[in-house]
Amino acid sequence: MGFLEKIDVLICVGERDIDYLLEVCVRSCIKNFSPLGSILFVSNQKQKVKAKISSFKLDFDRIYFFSDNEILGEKLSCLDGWYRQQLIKLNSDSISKTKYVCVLGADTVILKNIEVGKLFFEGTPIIYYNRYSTPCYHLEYERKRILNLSKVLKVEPRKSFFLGDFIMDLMIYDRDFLSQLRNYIYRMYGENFPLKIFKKNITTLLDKTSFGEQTLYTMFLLDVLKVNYLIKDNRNEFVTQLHTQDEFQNYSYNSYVVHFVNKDFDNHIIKTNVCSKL
Amino acid sequence: MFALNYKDFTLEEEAMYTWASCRDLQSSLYYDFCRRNSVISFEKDFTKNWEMAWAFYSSNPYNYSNILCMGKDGLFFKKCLLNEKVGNDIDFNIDFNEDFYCGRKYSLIYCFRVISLQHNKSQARIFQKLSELLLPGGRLILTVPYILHKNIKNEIKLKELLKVTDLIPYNYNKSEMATLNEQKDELIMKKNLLIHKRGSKRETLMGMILYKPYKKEDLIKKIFHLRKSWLHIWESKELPVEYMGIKNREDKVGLFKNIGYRIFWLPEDLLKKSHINIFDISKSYGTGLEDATRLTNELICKGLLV
Repeated sequence: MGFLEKIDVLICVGERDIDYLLEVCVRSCIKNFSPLGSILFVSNQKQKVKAKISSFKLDFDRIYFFSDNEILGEKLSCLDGWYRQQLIKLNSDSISKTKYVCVLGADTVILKNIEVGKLFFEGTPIIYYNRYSTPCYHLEYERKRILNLSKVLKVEPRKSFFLGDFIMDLMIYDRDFLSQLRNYIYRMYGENFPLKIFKKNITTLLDKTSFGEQTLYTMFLLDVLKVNYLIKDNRNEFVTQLHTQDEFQNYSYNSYVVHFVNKDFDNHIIKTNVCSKL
Repeated sequence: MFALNYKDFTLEEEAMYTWASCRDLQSSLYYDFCRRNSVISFEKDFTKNWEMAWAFYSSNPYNYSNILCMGKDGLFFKKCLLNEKVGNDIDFNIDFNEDFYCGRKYSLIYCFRVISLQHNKSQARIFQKLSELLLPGGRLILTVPYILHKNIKNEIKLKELLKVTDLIPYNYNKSEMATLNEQKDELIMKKNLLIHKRGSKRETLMGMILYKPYKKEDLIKKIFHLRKSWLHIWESKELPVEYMGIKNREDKVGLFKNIGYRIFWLPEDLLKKSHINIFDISKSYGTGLEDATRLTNELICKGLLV
């Protein structure tokens, strides 16, 4: 990865994201994501997102819009939206032209300038993992996901299990590895693999440990391909995830990236705090 | 003799690393400990009996050479340890007088009800002292009165108290510890809460295990090995197997439902080594030494590396 190389940013937009933090998300990306190529929006509300983005009057023209079906095809339209969004990310290379694709959450804001050095080490992407205080139920939750995905990938999670949590709402995917991952899964499950391995109904939090695109991709790199990349503790300094009101209220807007997981956070407070940094 | 009715107990917020106490509580282990050590009658003070047995079985004192017992019940517990043939290198002090500590450090400290969850200077000083007294890799076994009331947030109080000291549970989420600018001398916290219902009165104590991690500079000189009792043959491979607790154990999402044991997967190259150091962890996981320090400490705290 050279310092002049560009990276496309893919943002999946759900219905609830449109009026939540989409504007600050996009503005922060344009201002603070240094290697920015194009911004690719994917949504099942393509026209609505398009209208919303144009209302922001952004001084940036490399913006493209896609519908879910344009990427996944009609056959997978029956899947739960939770799955569809993840599959879109795993197919992000199909609409991006850059070697690396950055997947950014629509409820995620980049607060500080992100340069290539924050994302890459000696030319390869850094793999970030999360650590918590112990005992930590959430880490066990993520380890459950790893155990489930190890069955999907049919691999022993030798490296990924202890590290446990690779959930980052700003994550770099390598298009070559995405394609290898799809081929790997295709060889095991054939065409339309999601219809064969996904649960029909996602109703509980436990159901949600059945899949996770970031974890799947990272496990593929660490345990299948056994890549020798730098693995780094996120330490809540690169990407901070805010789940609870307590976390939200105590957050001091000092990380590079912040993911506002809970859609009930007061977006006026967020905008006030974020706007001073944009 | 008396009948021990386990239905009197409820275990709330059981932490994943404290399964042993739950298992032990439901066996005769605790009762036998009390009987061997002539602890006062269960009827008189059920909670205290649990406290002693819990402290003993949660700490594995046989692995430590220099031990300190603190608090009013510390002397009694020291006698228990001697009776259990733990060793002779056991100090006792009732509380924190300045003369007692002439530079000695301990690998294991028991502290019975000396600390309360109140955010004040004296409590903060006790925490600071305790941290100073612990050797890296050492453990602090605390019992703390725990007020059960929905409006009293014990966890928040604990965090507030730890904030003003250098005793910080390992790698707390920084958004929760907003006033902290840097991670200091960290401790890994384990928590176990046991409630004894006696009529309408609920006596509670929180048992905590705090671990004092090694710093990077200490770990560079240290060599560990995998605890043999964790290793089991699974599909013709020798792998660490972790006991997860009773099978019908309930948790908020159902993660541990029907799971008695699980493999604690580690990289193959680590498992093959007879001796493991921080550089092996760093190489195996592809991390820098700072991150490897944390990971190594976690494995030690968990009991997998010794």
